[in-house]
Amino acid sequence: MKKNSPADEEQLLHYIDGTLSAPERQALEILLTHDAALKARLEELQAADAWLHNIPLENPSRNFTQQVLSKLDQYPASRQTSFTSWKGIFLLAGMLVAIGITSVLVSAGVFDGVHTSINLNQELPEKFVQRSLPTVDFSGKTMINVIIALNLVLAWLVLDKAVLKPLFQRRMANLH
Amino acid sequence: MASSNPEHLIIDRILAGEAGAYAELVNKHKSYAFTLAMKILQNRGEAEEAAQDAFIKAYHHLNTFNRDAKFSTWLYRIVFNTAISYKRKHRQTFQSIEHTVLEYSPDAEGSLERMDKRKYLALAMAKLNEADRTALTLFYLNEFSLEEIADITGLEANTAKVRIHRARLRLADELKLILNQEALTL
Repeated sequence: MKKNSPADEEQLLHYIDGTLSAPERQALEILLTHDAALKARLEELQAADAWLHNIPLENPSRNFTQQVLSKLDQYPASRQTSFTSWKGIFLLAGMLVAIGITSVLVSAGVFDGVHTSINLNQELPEKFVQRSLPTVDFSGKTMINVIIALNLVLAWLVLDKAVLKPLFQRRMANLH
Repeated sequence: MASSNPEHLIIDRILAGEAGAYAELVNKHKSYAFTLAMKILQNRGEAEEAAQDAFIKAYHHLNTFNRDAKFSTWLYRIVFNTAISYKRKHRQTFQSIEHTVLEYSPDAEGSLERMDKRKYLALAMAKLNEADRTALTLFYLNEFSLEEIADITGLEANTAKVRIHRARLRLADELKLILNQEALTL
Protein backbone atom coordinates (compact mmCIF):
# COMPACT_ATOMS: atom_id res chain seq x y z
CA MET A 1 0.00 0.00 0.00
CA LYS A 2 1.39 3.42 -0.93
CA LYS A 3 2.45 5.89 1.75
CA ASN A 4 0.41 9.06 2.08
CA SER A 5 2.24 12.35 1.77
CA PRO A 6 2.37 14.81 4.74
CA ALA A 7 0.23 17.21 2.69
CA ASP A 8 -2.42 14.50 2.23
CA GLU A 9 -2.44 13.78 5.95
CA GLU A 10 -2.75 17.50 6.69
CA GLN A 11 -5.76 17.62 4.38
CA LEU A 12 -7.31 14.65 6.19
CA LEU A 13 -7.02 16.43 9.55
CA HIS A 14 -8.66 19.54 8.10
CA TYR A 15 -11.37 17.28 6.64
CA ILE A 16 -12.02 15.76 10.09
CA ASP A 17 -12.07 19.21 11.70
CA GLY A 18 -14.42 20.51 9.01
CA THR A 19 -12.06 23.33 8.09
CA LEU A 20 -11.84 22.58 4.35
CA SER A 21 -13.61 24.77 1.85
CA ALA A 22 -16.46 23.14 -0.12
CA PRO A 23 -14.35 22.64 -3.32
CA GLU A 24 -11.42 21.24 -1.27
CA ARG A 25 -13.78 18.90 0.53
CA GLN A 26 -15.33 17.66 -2.70
CA ALA A 27 -11.92 17.12 -4.30
CA LEU A 28 -10.75 15.13 -1.29
CA GLU A 29 -13.92 13.03 -1.22
CA ILE A 30 -13.41 12.13 -4.90
CA LEU A 31 -9.79 11.23 -4.15
CA LEU A 32 -10.89 9.06 -1.21
CA THR A 33 -13.08 6.92 -3.47
CA HIS A 34 -10.01 6.01 -5.57
CA ASP A 35 -7.24 5.92 -2.99
CA ALA A 36 -7.53 3.00 -0.56
CA ALA A 37 -4.45 4.03 1.45
CA LEU A 38 -5.78 7.52 1.96
CA LYS A 39 -9.19 6.18 2.97
CA ALA A 40 -7.60 3.77 5.45
CA ARG A 41 -5.58 6.60 6.96
CA LEU A 42 -8.70 8.74 7.24
CA GLU A 43 -10.41 5.96 9.18
CA GLU A 44 -7.41 5.67 11.52
CA LEU A 45 -7.35 9.41 12.14
CA GLN A 46 -11.12 9.55 12.67
CA ALA A 47 -10.87 6.73 15.22
CA ALA A 48 -8.02 8.45 17.05
CA ASP A 49 -9.97 11.72 16.99
CA ALA A 50 -13.05 10.05 18.49
CA TRP A 51 -10.93 8.50 21.24
CA LEU A 52 -9.18 11.79 21.96
CA HIS A 53 -12.53 13.49 22.49
CA ASN A 54 -12.85 11.19 25.50
CA ILE A 55 -9.57 12.01 27.23
CA PRO A 56 -10.40 11.28 30.87
CA LEU A 57 -10.29 14.16 33.29
CA GLU A 58 -7.94 13.35 36.17
CA ASN A 59 -9.13 14.22 39.67
CA PRO A 60 -6.64 15.44 42.26
CA SER A 61 -6.82 14.38 45.92
CA ARG A 62 -9.99 15.20 47.85
CA ASN A 63 -8.26 17.74 50.09
CA PHE A 64 -6.65 19.55 47.12
CA THR A 65 -8.61 22.78 47.62
CA GLN A 66 -8.03 22.80 51.39
CA GLN A 67 -4.32 22.30 50.83
CA VAL A 68 -4.17 25.20 48.38
CA LEU A 69 -6.08 27.48 50.75
CA SER A 70 -3.88 26.49 53.71
CA LYS A 71 -0.74 27.38 51.70
CA LEU A 72 -1.94 30.74 50.37
CA ASP A 73 -0.13 32.67 53.08
CA GLN A 74 3.09 30.77 52.62
CA TYR A 75 6.01 32.29 50.79
CA PRO A 76 5.03 31.99 47.13
CA ALA A 77 7.33 29.86 45.03
CA SER A 78 7.49 32.56 42.34
CA ARG A 79 9.43 34.80 44.68
CA GLN A 80 12.19 32.23 44.90
CA THR A 81 13.12 33.08 41.32
CA SER A 82 13.51 36.76 42.19
CA PHE A 83 16.35 35.74 44.51
CA THR A 84 18.14 34.35 41.46
CA SER A 85 17.45 37.65 39.67
CA TRP A 86 18.99 39.56 42.58
CA LYS A 87 22.07 37.35 42.46
CA GLY A 88 22.33 38.13 38.75
CA ILE A 89 21.95 41.85 39.40
CA PHE A 90 24.71 41.74 42.04
CA LEU A 91 26.93 39.78 39.64
CA LEU A 92 26.24 42.33 36.90
CA ALA A 93 27.03 45.23 39.25
CA GLY A 94 30.29 43.52 40.27
CA MET A 95 31.28 42.98 36.63
CA LEU A 96 30.54 46.60 35.73
CA VAL A 97 32.58 47.87 38.69
CA ALA A 98 35.49 45.60 37.67
CA ILE A 99 35.24 46.78 34.05
CA GLY A 100 35.12 50.41 35.20
CA ILE A 101 38.18 50.08 37.43
CA THR A 102 40.13 48.24 34.73
CA SER A 103 39.19 50.85 32.10
CA VAL A 104 40.41 53.64 34.39
CA LEU A 105 43.70 51.78 34.93
CA VAL A 106 44.10 51.24 31.15
CA SER A 107 43.44 54.89 30.37
CA ALA A 108 45.91 55.90 33.11
CA GLY A 109 48.56 53.93 31.22
CA VAL A 110 49.18 51.34 33.96
CA PHE A 111 49.44 48.52 31.40
CA ASP A 112 51.37 50.49 28.74
CA GLY A 113 54.71 49.16 29.86
CA VAL A 114 53.63 45.53 30.09
CA HIS A 115 54.99 43.64 27.11
CA THR A 116 55.97 40.07 26.59
CA SER A 117 57.03 38.05 23.59
CA ILE A 118 57.20 34.36 22.81
CA ASN A 119 60.02 33.12 20.62
CA LEU A 120 58.58 30.06 18.93
CA ASN A 121 62.05 28.93 17.83
CA GLN A 122 62.99 28.50 21.48
CA GLU A 123 59.69 26.97 22.57
CA LEU A 124 59.49 24.25 19.90
CA PRO A 125 62.21 21.56 19.53
CA GLU A 126 64.30 21.87 16.37
CA LYS A 127 63.36 18.39 15.13
CA PHE A 128 59.73 19.55 14.66
CA VAL A 129 60.53 22.85 12.95
CA GLN A 130 62.23 23.02 9.58
CA ARG A 131 62.49 26.78 9.25
CA SER A 132 62.73 29.85 11.41
CA LEU A 133 59.48 30.89 13.14
CA PRO A 134 58.48 34.50 14.00
CA THR A 135 58.48 35.91 17.52
CA VAL A 136 54.97 36.68 18.82
CA ASP A 137 54.63 39.92 20.79
CA PHE A 138 51.94 40.44 23.43
CA SER A 139 50.95 43.89 24.60
CA GLY A 140 49.53 44.01 28.15
CA LYS A 141 47.20 46.86 27.16
CA THR A 142 45.75 44.90 24.21
CA MET A 143 45.20 41.82 26.36
CA ILE A 144 43.41 43.85 29.04
CA ASN A 145 41.24 45.46 26.34
CA VAL A 146 40.28 42.01 25.05
CA ILE A 147 39.40 40.91 28.60
CA ILE A 148 37.29 44.07 29.05
CA ALA A 149 35.49 43.34 25.76
CA LEU A 150 34.77 39.75 26.83
CA ASN A 151 33.49 41.01 30.19
CA LEU A 152 31.20 43.46 28.41
CA VAL A 153 29.73 40.58 26.38
CA LEU A 154 29.26 38.53 29.57
CA ALA A 155 27.74 41.55 31.34
CA TRP A 156 25.26 41.92 28.46
CA LEU A 157 24.27 38.24 28.78
CA VAL A 158 23.83 38.59 32.56
CA LEU A 159 21.80 41.78 32.02
CA ASP A 160 19.56 39.92 29.58
CA LYS A 161 19.04 36.90 31.86
CA ALA A 162 18.80 38.66 35.22
CA VAL A 163 17.02 41.90 34.33
CA LEU A 164 15.57 42.17 30.82
CA LYS A 165 14.05 38.69 30.49
CA PRO A 166 12.26 38.72 33.90
CA LEU A 167 11.12 42.30 33.19
CA PHE A 168 9.57 41.44 29.82
CA GLN A 169 8.07 38.22 31.23
CA ARG A 170 6.36 40.27 33.97
CA ARG A 171 5.13 42.76 31.37
CA MET A 172 3.75 39.94 29.22
CA ALA A 173 2.02 38.45 32.27
CA ASN A 174 0.50 41.85 33.05
CA LEU A 175 -0.75 42.19 29.50
CA HIS A 176 -2.82 39.04 29.85
CA MET B 1 -18.03 49.35 34.80
CA ALA B 2 -18.81 46.29 36.91
CA SER B 3 -18.13 42.96 35.21
CA SER B 4 -20.92 40.39 34.86
CA ASN B 5 -18.46 37.53 34.42
CA PRO B 6 -18.96 35.26 37.49
CA GLU B 7 -15.22 34.56 37.70
CA HIS B 8 -14.45 38.27 37.68
CA LEU B 9 -16.90 38.76 40.55
CA ILE B 10 -15.09 36.05 42.53
CA ILE B 11 -11.74 37.70 41.74
CA ASP B 12 -13.14 41.02 42.97
CA ARG B 13 -14.15 39.38 46.25
CA ILE B 14 -10.70 37.81 46.65
CA LEU B 15 -8.95 41.11 45.90
CA ALA B 16 -11.23 42.78 48.44
CA GLY B 17 -9.76 40.44 51.07
CA GLU B 18 -12.12 37.45 50.99
CA ALA B 19 -9.40 34.79 50.50
CA GLY B 20 -11.90 31.96 51.11
CA ALA B 21 -13.65 32.84 47.85
CA TYR B 22 -10.61 31.46 46.04
CA ALA B 23 -11.92 27.97 46.86
CA GLU B 24 -14.63 28.50 44.23
CA LEU B 25 -12.04 29.11 41.51
CA VAL B 26 -9.86 26.23 42.70
CA ASN B 27 -12.81 23.82 42.74
CA LYS B 28 -13.85 24.88 39.27
CA HIS B 29 -10.43 24.51 37.65
CA LYS B 30 -8.59 21.94 39.77
CA SER B 31 -9.38 18.90 37.63
CA TYR B 32 -8.30 20.55 34.37
CA ALA B 33 -5.22 22.01 36.05
CA PHE B 34 -4.31 18.65 37.57
CA THR B 35 -4.91 16.78 34.29
CA LEU B 36 -2.71 19.23 32.43
CA ALA B 37 0.05 18.84 35.05
CA MET B 38 -0.35 15.05 34.87
CA LYS B 39 0.11 15.02 31.11
CA ILE B 40 3.37 16.90 31.50
CA LEU B 41 4.75 15.21 34.61
CA GLN B 42 3.24 11.70 34.33
CA ASN B 43 3.36 11.41 38.11
CA ARG B 44 0.39 12.02 40.42
CA GLY B 45 2.41 13.29 43.38
CA GLU B 46 4.39 15.79 41.36
CA ALA B 47 1.35 16.81 39.33
CA GLU B 48 -0.63 17.51 42.50
CA GLU B 49 2.23 19.54 43.95
CA ALA B 50 2.72 21.48 40.70
CA ALA B 51 -1.00 22.19 40.33
CA GLN B 52 -1.21 23.42 43.93
CA ASP B 53 1.87 25.58 43.43
CA ALA B 54 0.31 27.03 40.27
CA PHE B 55 -2.91 27.93 42.11
CA ILE B 56 -0.87 29.61 44.85
CA LYS B 57 1.12 31.60 42.26
CA ALA B 58 -2.10 32.58 40.49
CA TYR B 59 -3.58 33.75 43.81
CA HIS B 60 -0.58 35.98 44.48
CA HIS B 61 -0.75 37.47 40.99
CA LEU B 62 -4.53 37.85 40.71
CA ASN B 63 -4.15 41.63 40.65
CA THR B 64 -2.15 41.34 37.42
CA PHE B 65 -4.83 39.28 35.63
CA ASN B 66 -6.08 41.14 32.57
CA ARG B 67 -9.87 40.87 32.48
CA ASP B 68 -9.92 40.99 28.68
CA ALA B 69 -8.39 37.51 28.65
CA LYS B 70 -10.02 34.27 29.79
CA PHE B 71 -9.18 33.38 33.38
CA SER B 72 -8.76 29.71 32.41
CA THR B 73 -6.18 30.56 29.71
CA TRP B 74 -4.23 32.70 32.18
CA LEU B 75 -4.42 30.06 34.91
CA TYR B 76 -3.45 27.15 32.65
CA ARG B 77 -0.46 29.09 31.37
CA ILE B 78 0.72 29.29 34.98
CA VAL B 79 -0.02 25.57 35.45
CA PHE B 80 1.86 24.75 32.24
CA ASN B 81 4.92 26.82 33.20
CA THR B 82 4.95 25.45 36.75
CA ALA B 83 4.68 21.84 35.55
CA ILE B 84 7.48 22.41 33.02
CA SER B 85 9.67 23.83 35.84
CA TYR B 86 8.92 20.74 37.93
CA LYS B 87 9.77 18.54 34.97
CA ARG B 88 13.14 20.25 34.62
CA LYS B 89 13.84 19.97 38.35
CA HIS B 90 12.87 16.32 38.59
CA ARG B 91 14.08 15.09 35.23
CA GLN B 92 15.56 12.00 36.83
CA THR B 93 12.19 10.85 38.11
CA PHE B 94 11.27 7.72 36.25
CA GLN B 95 7.80 6.34 35.94
CA SER B 96 6.85 3.33 33.93
CA ILE B 97 4.08 3.39 31.35
CA GLU B 98 2.33 0.58 33.23
CA HIS B 99 2.04 2.80 36.33
CA THR B 100 0.60 5.63 34.28
CA VAL B 101 -2.10 3.62 32.61
CA LEU B 102 -3.30 1.99 35.81
CA GLU B 103 -4.17 5.31 37.40
CA TYR B 104 -7.83 5.94 36.81
CA SER B 105 -9.94 8.55 38.45
CA PRO B 106 -12.87 7.16 40.47
CA ASP B 107 -15.35 8.46 37.92
CA ALA B 108 -13.53 6.65 35.15
CA GLU B 109 -15.37 3.42 35.95
CA GLY B 110 -17.53 2.44 33.04
CA SER B 111 -18.08 -0.28 30.54
CA LEU B 112 -15.26 -2.63 29.70
CA GLU B 113 -15.03 -1.11 26.23
CA ARG B 114 -14.67 2.36 27.65
CA MET B 115 -12.02 1.19 30.09
CA ASP B 116 -10.11 -0.49 27.28
CA LYS B 117 -10.28 2.64 25.15
CA ARG B 118 -8.94 4.73 28.01
CA LYS B 119 -6.19 2.21 28.66
CA TYR B 120 -5.09 2.15 25.03
CA LEU B 121 -5.37 5.90 24.76
CA ALA B 122 -3.24 6.32 27.89
CA LEU B 123 -0.68 3.89 26.47
CA ALA B 124 -0.54 5.74 23.17
CA MET B 125 -0.36 9.14 24.90
CA ALA B 126 2.51 7.89 27.07
CA LYS B 127 4.48 7.17 23.90
CA LEU B 128 4.31 10.83 22.86
CA ASN B 129 6.61 13.50 24.18
CA GLU B 130 5.35 15.91 26.84
CA ALA B 131 4.86 18.80 24.38
CA ASP B 132 2.65 16.69 22.12
CA ARG B 133 0.69 15.26 25.08
CA THR B 134 0.08 18.74 26.46
CA ALA B 135 -1.00 20.13 23.10
CA LEU B 136 -3.46 17.27 22.56
CA THR B 137 -4.82 17.59 26.10
CA LEU B 138 -5.45 21.31 25.69
CA PHE B 139 -6.96 20.81 22.23
CA TYR B 140 -9.32 17.98 23.10
CA LEU B 141 -9.96 18.16 26.83
CA ASN B 142 -10.85 21.79 27.16
CA GLU B 143 -11.29 22.51 23.48
CA PHE B 144 -9.13 25.60 23.61
CA SER B 145 -8.64 27.45 20.34
CA LEU B 146 -5.24 27.34 18.64
CA GLU B 147 -4.62 30.94 19.77
CA GLU B 148 -5.40 30.04 23.37
CA ILE B 149 -3.17 26.95 23.23
CA ALA B 150 -0.40 29.09 21.77
CA ASP B 151 -0.92 31.57 24.61
CA ILE B 152 -0.79 28.88 27.29
CA THR B 153 2.25 27.09 25.90
CA GLY B 154 4.12 30.21 24.79
CA LEU B 155 4.21 29.09 21.15
CA GLU B 156 3.26 30.91 17.98
CA ALA B 157 -0.26 29.98 16.82
CA ASN B 158 1.15 28.40 13.66
CA THR B 159 3.68 26.37 15.63
CA ALA B 160 0.92 25.21 17.99
CA LYS B 161 -1.18 24.16 14.99
CA VAL B 162 1.70 22.19 13.47
CA ARG B 163 2.43 20.56 16.84
CA ILE B 164 -1.19 19.50 17.33
CA HIS B 165 -1.46 18.10 13.81
CA ARG B 166 1.81 16.23 14.20
CA ALA B 167 0.72 14.90 17.62
CA ARG B 168 -2.61 13.69 16.20
CA LEU B 169 -0.81 11.81 13.42
CA ARG B 170 1.65 10.29 15.88
CA LEU B 171 -1.11 9.29 18.25
CA ALA B 172 -3.01 7.58 15.44
CA ASP B 173 0.18 5.69 14.56
CA GLU B 174 0.76 4.66 18.18
CA LEU B 175 -2.85 3.55 18.62
CA LYS B 176 -2.64 1.50 15.44
CA LEU B 177 0.56 -0.13 16.64
CA ILE B 178 -0.84 -0.91 20.10
CA LEU B 179 -4.09 -2.30 18.74
CA ASN B 180 -2.25 -4.43 16.18
CA GLN B 181 0.00 -5.83 18.92
CA GLU B 182 -3.04 -6.45 21.11
CA ALA B 183 -4.78 -8.29 18.28
CA LEU B 184 -1.70 -10.47 17.78
CA THR B 185 -1.68 -11.54 21.44
CA LEU B 186 -5.36 -12.60 21.45
